[in-house]
Amino acid sequence: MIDYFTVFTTGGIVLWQKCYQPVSAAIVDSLVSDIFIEDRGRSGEQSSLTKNRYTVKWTTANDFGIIVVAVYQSLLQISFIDELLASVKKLFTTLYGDELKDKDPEQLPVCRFDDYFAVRYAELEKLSEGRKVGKPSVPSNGVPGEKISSDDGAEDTLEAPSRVTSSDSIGDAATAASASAKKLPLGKRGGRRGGRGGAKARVGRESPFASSGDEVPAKKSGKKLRKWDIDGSARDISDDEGPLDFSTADANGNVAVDEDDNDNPLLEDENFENWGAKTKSGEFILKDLSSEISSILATPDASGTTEGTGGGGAALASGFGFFRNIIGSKVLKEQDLDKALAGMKDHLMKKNVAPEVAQHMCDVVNKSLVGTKTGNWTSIEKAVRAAMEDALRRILTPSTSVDLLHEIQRVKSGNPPRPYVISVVGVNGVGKSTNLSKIAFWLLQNNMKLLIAACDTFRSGAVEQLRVHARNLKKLTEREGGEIELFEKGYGKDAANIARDAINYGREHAFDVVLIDTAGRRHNDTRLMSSLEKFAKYANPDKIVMVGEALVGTDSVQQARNFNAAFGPTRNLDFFLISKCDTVGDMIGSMVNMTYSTGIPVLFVGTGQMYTDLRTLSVPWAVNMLMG
Amino acid sequence: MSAPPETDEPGHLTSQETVSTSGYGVPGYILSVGLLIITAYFAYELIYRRTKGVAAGGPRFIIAGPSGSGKTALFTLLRYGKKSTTLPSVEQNLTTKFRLPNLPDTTKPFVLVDTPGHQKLRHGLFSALQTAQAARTVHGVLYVVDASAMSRPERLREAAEYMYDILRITERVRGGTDMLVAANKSELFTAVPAKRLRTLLETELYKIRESRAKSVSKVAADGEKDDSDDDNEDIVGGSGWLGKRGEKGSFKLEDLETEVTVLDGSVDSGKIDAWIGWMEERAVN
Repeated sequence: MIDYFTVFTTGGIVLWQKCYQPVSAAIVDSLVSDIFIEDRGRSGEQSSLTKNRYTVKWTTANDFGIIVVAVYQSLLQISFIDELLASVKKLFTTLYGDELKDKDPEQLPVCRFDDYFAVRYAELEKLSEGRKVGKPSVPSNGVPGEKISSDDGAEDTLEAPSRVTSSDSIGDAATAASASAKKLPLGKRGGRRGGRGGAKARVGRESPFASSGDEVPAKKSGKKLRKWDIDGSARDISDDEGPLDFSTADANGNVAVDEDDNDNPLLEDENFENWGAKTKSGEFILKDLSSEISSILATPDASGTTEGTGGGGAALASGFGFFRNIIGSKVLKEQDLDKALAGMKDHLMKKNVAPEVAQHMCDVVNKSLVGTKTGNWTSIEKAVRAAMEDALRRILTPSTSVDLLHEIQRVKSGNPPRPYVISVVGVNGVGKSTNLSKIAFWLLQNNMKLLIAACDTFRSGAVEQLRVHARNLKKLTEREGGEIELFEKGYGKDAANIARDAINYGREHAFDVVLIDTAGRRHNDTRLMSSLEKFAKYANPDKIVMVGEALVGTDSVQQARNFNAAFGPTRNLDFFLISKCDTVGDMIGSMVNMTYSTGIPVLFVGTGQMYTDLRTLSVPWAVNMLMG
Repeated sequence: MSAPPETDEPGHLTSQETVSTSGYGVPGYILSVGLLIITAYFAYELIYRRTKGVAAGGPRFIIAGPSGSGKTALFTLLRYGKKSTTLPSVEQNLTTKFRLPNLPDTTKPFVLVDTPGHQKLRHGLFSALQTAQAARTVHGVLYVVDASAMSRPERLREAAEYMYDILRITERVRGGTDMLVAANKSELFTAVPAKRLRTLLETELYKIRESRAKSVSKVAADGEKDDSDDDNEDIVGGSGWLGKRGEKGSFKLEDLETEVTVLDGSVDSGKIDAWIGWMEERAVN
């Protein structure tokens, strides 16, 4: 049912993955950047995103820096998916927590999680089936279920030292011989003892060793096939297991011996230590796997996440919370952040950021900080501030760069050559025509041949206004060789038709750019907004620019959303132009509102009354203004 | 932060502590023990911070490049000796214990940073590179590109644009910061060879320079045009000129202060010896 399940670090290193159905890497990549970088899919509490017929659900553990993601077909309803994600997170952080905590480990954490996952998955699946049908599953299912867990238990004990031949064979023999679980521990102990010997003698016995390594995944996949009957995955598992397998790690180690003799003892020590640590926590490994899982899941969250993070200093400093705040290196909890975040929210709202957006920004910051440790000499306020700057920067930075001049050149020299079409839309009186002429001025300075199409056939004076602009611009840029013309059809006609005619005219007369001015419309007037869809279809502009004014407050969220949705399901806005930025000082929150609600970047800002008062957005400038 | 205020601050706080606790009639020995603990703790913090600071600020190599070029895979291959499956990075990967294989063991380990390639996250690289350059700790930038995608104009454009922004930073110091363009995935059929990639990038960088010179200037604090791009903290997409002033007609990477080398390699098939060689050359200098 689940196509793809993975656990990876925030750095992008996949720790463990399971592929039931091949999902193209490009899809997974784009989903990950959409969710974790572009911050899409924030529909309420449920963290899920649907795209290209796939649905993604995820959960994160900040203190460990890991992300758990499940991808499945949107058609399917998987009721237990949240539970599965939560339990995988819990299991993963409990099992590999120590290794994951080390931010700069000597080796990548090796996570052999397949069996835990399979067992937990089967459990939850059975549970949900039971819920649906109303009775527990058939008894015949129960027997192999038991068998799985005991088998896996055996395998799990061998997991750490499984690189060793002897341990494997003994463990296997033990499993085979003992039908009862009572005998298992003996087998395991034997296995471990054998393992120790094997680990020491490892370097000497290279070749038998390699062969044993090959056997391990083969045996595993055989098991998988037998138990869960998932043909496609079995191959994938063995593929994925390959690089993570201890045997290959050893092979690498041996390669390292050839290159550099000094490296090897160190490496071996490391392995040995890891392995020893695992033996120490052996009590629960001795139990069978499913009961281990349930015991891990039963432990309350607090012990797992908040304690043991501070290291040596934490115990000492627990009484000095006040000092901690000043000195830093404090593990952040939700209640610590509340006050700082409330202040931050007020601050943002004073900058004209809509309450909804401010709350979301605070949630983002909250999520990114809970469980992390503040830097030395960093107070909570400072940490929150830094995180907020980061979040704002992330929202405002466009995810693709727009180089209009380059694109115009490309379209012009294309085959067949056609004019590049830019159209402006927006609410009444935000400065559509004014900013259109500012863009025109900039293009004229770059020796373009422009056609302005007057498609505001509604407001009296709109055409005349553009005519004055065209005349002024012509005079201003005559010497530099800019050419500009106005295309008008008077008032009362259909805007979409005029736009199409203008583009045809532009094509016939070899214009470089056609700039289309449209009538202003209220974003919640469905009658006026519905004509935009036709407009987009007829004119099909290369770029649709929405002009929004910096003065508008909370309403900008809805404006941006409605305009973005008005062009039909296949067309969106391309970028925003925020006008009247010179009139609001540092209260430029509308920018954040609009980019937040649509994910569409701000390209230009209008900063004054002159033709030259057009600027591209500088993200550091905007962040400084908002945080200042 | 400089040293004096740090020592000043704890002193101030401890005295406050003394006043407040003695007001409640706490026995003297508890006070002295408390003081001892506090001072010990501050000493520990200071020492800890100092050692950690040195480690994190040591000589470094920085991995950069557009998304999907294989940066994180290269990072794990260099650091752990094995490539790992990767997904787009959300945060940087950093190690302070990176060793180059052919250098003697007595050399200090390097810092190796792998930065996310997504457009929204590039700010981290720019600021990190600037601080590292200011501290003169950066040995080189490994700019990883997907050589197999460089025959596609939009991908080439993306790679060149990011490179342009990085070069504008590396050009700021005398002699520049060396940059290796690591043409990754060269084992693939469609891969562009290093020599050709160099010319492709030069042509594209030239085009970018031309169109940026004509673009609308960035908004600055006072709303005026910002012509001085040297102390401008916003590098991305800025109109700053790269290469010789007033140079027209062509762009050559040789003209830059930054020494740019383009080398083929492949993380997937483990062919990164040339890149390691390049790093070792930079490391001993």
